[in-house]
Amino acid sequence: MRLLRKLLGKKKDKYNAGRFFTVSTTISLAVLLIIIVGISLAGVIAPYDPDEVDILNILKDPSTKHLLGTDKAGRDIFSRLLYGGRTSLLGALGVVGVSIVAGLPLGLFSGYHGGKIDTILMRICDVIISFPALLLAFVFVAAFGRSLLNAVFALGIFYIPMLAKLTRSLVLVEKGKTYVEAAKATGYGDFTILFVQILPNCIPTLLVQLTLDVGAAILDLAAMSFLGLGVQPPTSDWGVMLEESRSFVTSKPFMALAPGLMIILIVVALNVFSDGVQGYLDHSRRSLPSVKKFKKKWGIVHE
Amino acid sequence: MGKFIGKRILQMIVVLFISSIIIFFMVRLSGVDPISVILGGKESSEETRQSVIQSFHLDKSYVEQYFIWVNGILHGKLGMSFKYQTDVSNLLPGRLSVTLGLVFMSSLFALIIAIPLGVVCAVKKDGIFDKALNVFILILNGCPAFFTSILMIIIISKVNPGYPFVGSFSNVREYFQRLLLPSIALGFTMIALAMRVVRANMIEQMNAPYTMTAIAKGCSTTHLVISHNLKNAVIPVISVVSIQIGSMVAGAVLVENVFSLGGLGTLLVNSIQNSDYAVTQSITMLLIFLFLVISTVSDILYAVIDPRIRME
Repeated sequence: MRLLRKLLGKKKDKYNAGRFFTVSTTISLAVLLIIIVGISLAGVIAPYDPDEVDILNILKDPSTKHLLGTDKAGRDIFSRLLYGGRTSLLGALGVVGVSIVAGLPLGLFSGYHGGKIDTILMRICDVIISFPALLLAFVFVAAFGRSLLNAVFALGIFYIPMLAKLTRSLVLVEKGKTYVEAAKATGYGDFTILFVQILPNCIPTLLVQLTLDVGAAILDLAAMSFLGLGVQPPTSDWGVMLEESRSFVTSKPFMALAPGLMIILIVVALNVFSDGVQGYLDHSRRSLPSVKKFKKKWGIVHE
Repeated sequence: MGKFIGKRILQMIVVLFISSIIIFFMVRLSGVDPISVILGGKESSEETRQSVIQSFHLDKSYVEQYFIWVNGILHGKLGMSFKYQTDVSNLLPGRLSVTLGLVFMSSLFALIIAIPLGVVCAVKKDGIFDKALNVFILILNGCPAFFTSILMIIIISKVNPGYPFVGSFSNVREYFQRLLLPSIALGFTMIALAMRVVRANMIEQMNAPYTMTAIAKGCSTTHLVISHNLKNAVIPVISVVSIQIGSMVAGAVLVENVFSLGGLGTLLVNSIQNSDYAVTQSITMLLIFLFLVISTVSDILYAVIDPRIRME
């Protein structure tokens, strides 16, 4: 109990005030790095080909030969997990990428120019946001066919309004600042002011939101693949792996637990990391180190 | 008040109309030949083809087909399903009750759990319980509803191997028994959000000047928290929950799939996989309609509780 109190105690916050590498940020960053290194080195680490069918070894329990066992076609689950992570993470990055390409300029333009166009654009965004993205993505996939690429595009499109609205609100704040006025007075064009002057100041906050979006995109893509509307088997993907494990849930829980826990792990790590960065960027949450620490570090406080 | 309600309903109709156009024409972009879907890809005589074209209005232009569809909806007909060869409205009754029941029960479950927990967290702010629940919420946020369902099945089948996960809906008891687990699984996603909102609002209310006044007057803590603070803190939860219900409709699709409940979601996913567009467009419209009704009702409810909203 005392240990728990120590871990969760109030002191931690004060100790970490104004620091980037807090305990939670460091842990989440480490987890993310391990996962990213693991899946990008999948070709080296994975003991088997993820699509190699081995009829003699189907539905094996975890052993030294197959770390997490094998699935119904005898494919090694550990190898599939690594390659599947590649599909899931790249897909999620694709979703966020699509939303950046369209959402960022839209938000910048809308916020900077204002007026009627701004009102209309934001109204449309409000309407789209009010619907669940997943449901709209279903219709999109119904129209253009079931594949990973279409799922990524569908989700990306429905992520645009949120990003556009956030960018717009940031631009509205920045627009009123003196440096923009100075840039205008110097004779810079609108384009330069928007992309060279204003955008860099918005990036930190946008990055926080984009990190969260990657997590949400992983969840949404997994959901679509799970329903058979995203990544198509036999390609390995965490959502597809969960779908394939469904018939064996009670007898071979490992098949479901491995991809499921990976999804939770990466999404939680992304959320914690983004929360930590937000805390670091938020000036109101930052405070000076405690007097004790000042004394210890610089010895400038004398009683 | 009347003006506010009228405005909201008008808005809802406009959104419904626009989304019906978008959905109808998007579904037709796919380029799949409806006749081959209807006939199941079998070789058939010219006569059957002609009769199919006649009965499904395929010889008419898309615009005409759209108006036939909308006209049908207004008369309670949702269009013929390509696969089931019957009107979509005939497929609905049982499925609608499953999906609606699922969404309703899970919201109820989530609120029953989330409100007391949120209050306790706010009262014992930064205590061990608060921090532990914070971690729990964090994990819940990363846990997709369908994986929660799978986890529940794994755990329950280990604890109680005889638990009936499948069954029929022949009576009320069976209905609740089958919907219980899926509702809990779906409710978990909402708990995280609702609890956060309750906690944040409670903290805000507890720091409000009126709380100080009540304490100065000698109001007991329990009375203060329950009948002063909680009352004010619950209002914003309504709007958050109503927004969340929209994504719960999508989440219900997934949970239904795991527990093999024959709900609207299962029908929708199957129709997309079978290119059965009549069903896809009608079910999507129905889900959007449900979603809009829920959010409009909650908006109105919100305005009834909090008069400031009406002024906007």
